[in-house]
Amino acid sequence: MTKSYRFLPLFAAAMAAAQGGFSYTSSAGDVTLNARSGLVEIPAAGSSVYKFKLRTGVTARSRKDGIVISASEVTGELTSRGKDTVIRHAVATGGVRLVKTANGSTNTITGARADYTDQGSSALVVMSGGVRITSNSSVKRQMWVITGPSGQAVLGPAARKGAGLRTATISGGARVDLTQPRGGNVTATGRQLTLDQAARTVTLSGGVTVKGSGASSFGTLQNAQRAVLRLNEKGEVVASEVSS
Amino acid sequence: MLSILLGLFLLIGCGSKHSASKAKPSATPPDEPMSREVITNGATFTRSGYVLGKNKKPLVDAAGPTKLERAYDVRCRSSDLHYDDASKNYWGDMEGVSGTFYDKDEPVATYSADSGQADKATNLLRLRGHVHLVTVPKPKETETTLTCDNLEWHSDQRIVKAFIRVTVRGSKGTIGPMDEVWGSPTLNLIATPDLFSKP
Repeated sequence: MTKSYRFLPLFAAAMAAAQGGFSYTSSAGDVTLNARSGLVEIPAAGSSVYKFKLRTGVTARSRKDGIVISASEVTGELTSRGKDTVIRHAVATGGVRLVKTANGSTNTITGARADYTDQGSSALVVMSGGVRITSNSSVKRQMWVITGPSGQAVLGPAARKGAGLRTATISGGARVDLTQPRGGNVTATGRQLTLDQAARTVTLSGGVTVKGSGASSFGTLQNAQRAVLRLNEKGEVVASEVSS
Repeated sequence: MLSILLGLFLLIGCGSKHSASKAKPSATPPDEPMSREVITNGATFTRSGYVLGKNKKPLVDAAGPTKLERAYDVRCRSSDLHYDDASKNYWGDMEGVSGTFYDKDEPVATYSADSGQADKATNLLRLRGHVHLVTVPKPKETETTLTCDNLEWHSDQRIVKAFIRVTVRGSKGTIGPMDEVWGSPTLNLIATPDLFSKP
């Protein structure tokens, strides 16, 4: 996605608001839904789950979770967690962009479809259709990009603490581009890729190729069965384990 | 119920003096049915609109009104209502209106507005100016409030259509302000017209 397209969802949301589209704000202001068209079904007594359906220029924002979902269409459910309102489930289709902000880092997931489910202590996002996950950390000055046809990501629960993106798995042909803080890049491809933020590892399997460029100290690896790239807290590749 | 009868009585009573010629000898052809106008000024006037029950039985049969469901009550400061003998319909304008919407004969919301327009033929009630609608909550539920400039209560379809500066506030949050919103009479389903589907 080029820089000029990056602001497209924001522009669409602004257009929807300007044209008097649908808008919903939870009682505490922690969840907002905006779209050109929308529907909210308020539950009867005894239930705290209420359904929504949004179409055209959709933006669904959960401040507590640090989540912003932009798409052509989103259907889902909101629920109460204590005094807060959160997005319990959302299925987004058409030019999906899911941004998770936590602890100074921003993870952006784009694709044709995303199925987001709040699981209490984490959130699961199942993605398909030209998936792209990027991470920008202003603290670590680290950036990486993962791409592939489909996959899933596990996100942390809160906006202010913990890692925004805990793990990401891409299958069906994956690629990761790691921009090194001291300059240079490391690019790796394989049939499957798993990123584990807590373990600071990127694991690739199936026809793995790894190539370092620029100031990166990494050379070239071709057609390995499995490769594990170990990163330090700045996101530099500090070690690799290869099995062929 | 007393107010309903009073309203009907007022209409018929006021209209009878215009149709006094109906008592002419049968040798001359009867008068064509005529429309009559009833004006109330500075008085409180109350009447109810009705829609057919689900079985679509006629509004009135030999035994009198049957299988009727109340659609709305209107109280107004003043009114200019028309009554048509042939169709037995009424329509007209009212000022300073307030009243109740009914769904399946149960009160579901109360309302007030600067003015209103009723048409019994379409079972449509239009409200204009500072429209304020408050749901009648069921046990353990809280009320929901809708405010807007114009509102239509389509009692046949059980749809509330709100227009211009529409805001819906409830314990779960706020919808709007928006240009146009359709909702169920209990306001538990709120949507833009293109996504609204009857519950």
